[in-house]
Amino acid sequence: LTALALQKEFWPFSHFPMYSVTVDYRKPFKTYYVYGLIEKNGNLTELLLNGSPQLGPFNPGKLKQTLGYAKTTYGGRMWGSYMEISDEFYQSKLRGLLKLYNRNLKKSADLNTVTPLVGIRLYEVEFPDKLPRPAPLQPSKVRLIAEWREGR
Amino acid sequence: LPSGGKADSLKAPELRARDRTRALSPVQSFWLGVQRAWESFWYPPTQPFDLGFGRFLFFAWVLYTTGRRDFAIWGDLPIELFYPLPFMRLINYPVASAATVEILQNIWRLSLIFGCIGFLTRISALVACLLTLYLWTLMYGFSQEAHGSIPLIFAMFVLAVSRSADSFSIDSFLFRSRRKPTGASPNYGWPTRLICCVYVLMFFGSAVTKLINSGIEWGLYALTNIFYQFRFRASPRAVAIIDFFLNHLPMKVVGMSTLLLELAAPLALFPGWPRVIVLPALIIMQLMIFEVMGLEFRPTFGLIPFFIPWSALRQVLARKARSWRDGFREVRFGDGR
Repeated sequence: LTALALQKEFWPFSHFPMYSVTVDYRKPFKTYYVYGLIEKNGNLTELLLNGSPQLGPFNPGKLKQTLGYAKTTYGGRMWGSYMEISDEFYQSKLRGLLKLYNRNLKKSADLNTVTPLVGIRLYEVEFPDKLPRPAPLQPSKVRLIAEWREGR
Repeated sequence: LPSGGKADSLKAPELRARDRTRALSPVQSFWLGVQRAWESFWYPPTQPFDLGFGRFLFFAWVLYTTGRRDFAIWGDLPIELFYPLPFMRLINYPVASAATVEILQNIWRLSLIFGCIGFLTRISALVACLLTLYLWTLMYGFSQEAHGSIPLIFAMFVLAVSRSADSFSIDSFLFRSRRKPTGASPNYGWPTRLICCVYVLMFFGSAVTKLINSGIEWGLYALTNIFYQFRFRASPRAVAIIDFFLNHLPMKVVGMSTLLLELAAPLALFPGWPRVIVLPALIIMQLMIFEVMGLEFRPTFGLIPFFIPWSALRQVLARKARSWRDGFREVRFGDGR
């Protein structure tokens, strides 16, 4: 009852936030994209990491949640309401994701052929809606939230 | 009967209780009524078989639906990705290594098997409860998980502290002298009632949160938005039909019904027609959530056996079987030979 009243997560007592907020698919919506940075011939190239098997067990949904997506998007009314989102929070999470990616990459591929990440970026991307279209949906806004570089 | 002396002791107990009630003030009799209602709700005399067989089905179902989960993957992640929940910070929650989690999850599976067959039941149920708490909390430290596992923790704790091994268990054979069932007793009633409460409060809490977060609008629009994804692969003709259902009355009716059903979930605590209507409706709703949205709530079905009066059902089935057997004999030997 306390968890319900305060809208907080005192796990395993919870206010069951899942799907309690109406999100209109016909209105603009925001999501998180995580890009890895790889160095090729002295140039940095971005590589989309959402859904990458190297980030397992973080599937696209879990990846967004670990980065505090629900807290920022739904104003603390969803899971992670206890999180304190700050630049330090993002830096720590991105550093962890980079470590995880490079470790899994080394495990799964030939050490001579792998290109490890040298950095990682988190973007907030806004789409006009989620309606089906013949062409892929283009974002209407892109904002860099945080970046982590190896050896910084 | 005249009151007092020998005659009073000859009165039926309910008559004596009525006399006592008459002597009380209205406030006192009101509180007495509340007390009696409270006790009859929480401590209904229940057969040990109801609790024991419920325990057996509960652990078997939990093992079937969650036993193959691999928690070790969460023990091997960079610690930077860990963000403890407030209570985890409070108890200084330790993040075990993948190898340790592997050992813990094997103990957890074993405790579920022991809980199911009723071997060292109290210890098994307590270990299962603590390890379910630990292993699922570990996932919550890294990311969000479906809430379907949380009621299991409470149910396991109730089974650990109650006399759930007095029937349908290996313990009841091994420790027959200590675990002699005494027939219908409140000792077997409160655990079943408490577990049923956990199940219905899960829905009720969900409905209250929806009302707090979105108000009555949730019932009118939320399902429309969730179901909108079906338009993605639909043909243009199908899209028109889907749009009609999404934006008109049918989906709003389904949405409002969902909200009302969740609010009405506590009615399933009362035997008779409320349970017969509400409980199957809740089960169908959960199955639909799983089919449509892929949210894993099936482990919570393990709590449903505690709603069913198994011993009464067993008696009915035994009577039926006897009458069928008698009927069969009559048909076979009906000519008197």
